[in-house]
Amino acid sequence: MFLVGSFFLFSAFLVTTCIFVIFSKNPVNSVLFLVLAFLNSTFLFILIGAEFVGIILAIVYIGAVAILFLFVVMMLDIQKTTLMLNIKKYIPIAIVFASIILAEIIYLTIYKSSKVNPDTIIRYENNTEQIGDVLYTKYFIDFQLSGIVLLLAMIGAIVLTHVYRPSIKRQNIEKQNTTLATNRVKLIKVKSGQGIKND
Amino acid sequence: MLSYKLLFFLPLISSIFTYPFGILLGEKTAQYFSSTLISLAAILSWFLFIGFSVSSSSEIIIPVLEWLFISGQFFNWGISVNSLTLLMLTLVLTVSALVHIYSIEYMAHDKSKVRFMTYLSLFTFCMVALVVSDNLIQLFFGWEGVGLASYLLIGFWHHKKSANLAAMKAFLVNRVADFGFLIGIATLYIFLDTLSINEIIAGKEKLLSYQINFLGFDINALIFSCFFLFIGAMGKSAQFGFHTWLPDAMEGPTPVSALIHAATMVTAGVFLTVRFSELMVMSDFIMTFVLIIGLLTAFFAASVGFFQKDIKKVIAYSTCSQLGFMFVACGLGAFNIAIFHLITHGYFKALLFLSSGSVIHGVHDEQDMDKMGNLFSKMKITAVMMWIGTLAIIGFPYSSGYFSKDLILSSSFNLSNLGPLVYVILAIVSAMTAFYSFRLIFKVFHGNYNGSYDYEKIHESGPFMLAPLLLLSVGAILAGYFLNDLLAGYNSKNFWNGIIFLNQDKHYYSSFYPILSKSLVAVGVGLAVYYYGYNFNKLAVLKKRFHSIYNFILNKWYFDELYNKIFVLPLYNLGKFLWTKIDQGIIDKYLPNGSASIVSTISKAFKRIQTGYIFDYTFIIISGFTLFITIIFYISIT
Amino acid sequence: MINLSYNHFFTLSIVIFIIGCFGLFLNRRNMILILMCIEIILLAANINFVSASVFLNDINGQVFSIFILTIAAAEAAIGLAILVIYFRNKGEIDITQINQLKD
Repeated sequence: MFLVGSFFLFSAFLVTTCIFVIFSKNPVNSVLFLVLAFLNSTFLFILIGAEFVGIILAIVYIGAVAILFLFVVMMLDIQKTTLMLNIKKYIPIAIVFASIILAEIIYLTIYKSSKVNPDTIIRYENNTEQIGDVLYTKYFIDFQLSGIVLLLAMIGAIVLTHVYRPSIKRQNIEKQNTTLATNRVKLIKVKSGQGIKND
Repeated sequence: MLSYKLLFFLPLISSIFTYPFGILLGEKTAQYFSSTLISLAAILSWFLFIGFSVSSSSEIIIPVLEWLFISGQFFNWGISVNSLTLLMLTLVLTVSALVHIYSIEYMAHDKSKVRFMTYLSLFTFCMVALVVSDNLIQLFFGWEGVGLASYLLIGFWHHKKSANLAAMKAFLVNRVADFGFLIGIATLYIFLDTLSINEIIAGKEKLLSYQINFLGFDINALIFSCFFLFIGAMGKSAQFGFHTWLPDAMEGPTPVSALIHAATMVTAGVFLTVRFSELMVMSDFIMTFVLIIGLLTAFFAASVGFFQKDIKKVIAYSTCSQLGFMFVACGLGAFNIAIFHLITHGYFKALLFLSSGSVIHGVHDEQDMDKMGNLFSKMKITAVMMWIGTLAIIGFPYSSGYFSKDLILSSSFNLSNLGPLVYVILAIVSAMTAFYSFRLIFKVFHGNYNGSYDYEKIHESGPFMLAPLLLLSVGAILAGYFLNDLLAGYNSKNFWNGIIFLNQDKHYYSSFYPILSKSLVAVGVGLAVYYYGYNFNKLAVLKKRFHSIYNFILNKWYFDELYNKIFVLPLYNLGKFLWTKIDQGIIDKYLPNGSASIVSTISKAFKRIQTGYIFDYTFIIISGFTLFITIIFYISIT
Repeated sequence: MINLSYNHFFTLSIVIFIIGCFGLFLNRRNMILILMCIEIILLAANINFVSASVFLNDINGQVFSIFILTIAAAEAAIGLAILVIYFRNKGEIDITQINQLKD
């Protein structure tokens, strides 16, 4: 009972917030509703018994991606634009297509597919242990690769948005390593009482 | 054998080679070349004719070339030599040769004289092929060939719009009649399984026994086929109903009128009827029909000739009327007399046409008789020639027309009950003929000159034009006397030798009738002299009093207007409707133009999808996805 | 008493997916919304994977869901970087102004 009720509750929230993401006037509101959507899906995952994935979703999606969105939304000068002016005539056809796709996919997959029998061995570990059991052994390479993907994404983001400001002090290691003492220091014998010409 | 084949091929060689010779060797050489070839053919034909008539053979068939092999039968080119064909050949080739020589001078100022000679020779070849043919296919080839040559020659001056229209009219009216002719040929082939003329005539009893079911009616096959053969003859010979093309055919140069529309092509119809005379006599209906058509034509054409203003048109209507006489003779069973009249008529009609050509040439191409007059002193030889031709046509004693016309009139007593009536009608028509022929002479050669061309500059024509006239006048005077005995007298049975039907009965009639006919002719001449020789002003009074009849006759009994209304305008409108509404409006609009515009419409519609906005492209993706899901959905349901 | 089965979660996932798709199409405002709708779509996929793995007693679904997470984060980062540069060049991120795909 609890399960079903909370499933319907959280899924209703999820759908609602997703709709609000699209139809908000203020883009900041859109981002915040996105955060709510992720939160609700976390709750759904925890409900179902996949708590590790749910918490990871919360940390990565909400903590990193949504924050990134928020940063960008705050940084760019986004106007609050009128929403319904342009969309009004497209909503009916959107509803038609949406209902067609929904109905047909549900019919095809639920009523036409055969029932799948689970045939794996059930071990009563918690979710984290289950995932860890597989992630570092069987999917080890995929794990490393996903790390490389993240590295690439980071490099890509930096390269894309980097602006070369010439007034910033920076080091050129190669130049530093290839200087000779004679280019930097000059020993001059000074007679007492006489100065040096600065040239 | 060779000489007959030479007759056949000389005109063909002339027609093929004249034009290249004209380009290579010069115009004069080409003209002399073609005239020489045809003259050779003419002289050869006279020798062959005399040689054949003294021999005792009845018919020789000479095969020339293999032509068609259709469904197990041969249809080849062949020459059938018998008295009828040789006689026709002499007429055709003589007149053709004289016209060739005449046109050397008549067309001297024209810039396409070589083309003219080519067409004349082409016509001669087709006419020869028609006359000597031994089967109906070659005859039909000649038939169509002379129609084609007539079209080319009538429309010779193709920069004149009226000439083009007249040529088309001639060809089209002929076409309609040829359709009937084809029906006749087809019927004969269906029932007798052969198109050779001798075999058809031999199978006439068999043909009589068949019935043909035509549009629901059962008609005797012989009557049916003979009727349609005669329809073809009517078209070619410009009989009543199919005559509208002959006056308009005067748009061509005068030598053309002399050759085609006086002596040869229009006589092809009579020739066909006489060739199939054995078949035609077997049915009373056909004979009566031919007789009535001939009478109607003779009367109608003579009446219209009364008031025509163009000199050539008068002679054209006169031809039409004389052809009616020939068909009357056929209808009365006197086929040999029809041929006799054909020959004599050929000579004096060609004489009349060529003299009128000389007159037209002299007054510098003026054809309206109202603008001529008092030309006797300027063109004496032409005038004398014209007098000779006119005397021949009215049947002045001992000219050729006298013999043939009188025989036709007397053969009307072949009919037992209506003979006298036919005789009286023919006599009246002869009087009318006399009237309009002398009207022509008085208007042109006597009276006062009212033309626009300078009177002093009018001169007689040159030797090339006068020599044919002189030769033809010899024929007009003497042909009747010499051929009378051969064709229609005591030796006729030996001469014809069974080629055509000969009526052997002798009919008697009182001498009242010849006196009647002669006096009617004299009355006609007298009226012409009275009104056109001396008292012109009385004409205007008469015209005003009987002006409705005058207009009716002047407008050719309104035949052209009638045909225009019944046939031409509806077809023209139908054609126009089909062209604009259906051809342009539906087929052109939807098929070529339509498919082009559909492509452009569709591409314009699709262009609107390419907006450049991402959200529109995602919509396309989503729609495609929907379609995909729907297809899978429907596949999984069924 | 409804027993919660995989079908419910699958339906939910499809609904979220469709919302995300149509958010892409109904967006007439700015480009950030595009990236957010992509995140929603990825979320739907995630829900599908995880619920399938739970109801089929197979851990592979959740493992793959973690990878999807990784990729989603990477792609969001790059996408936002591109957006920032675009803003730097154009001065606005109005989506109705980018129709250069047509020419």
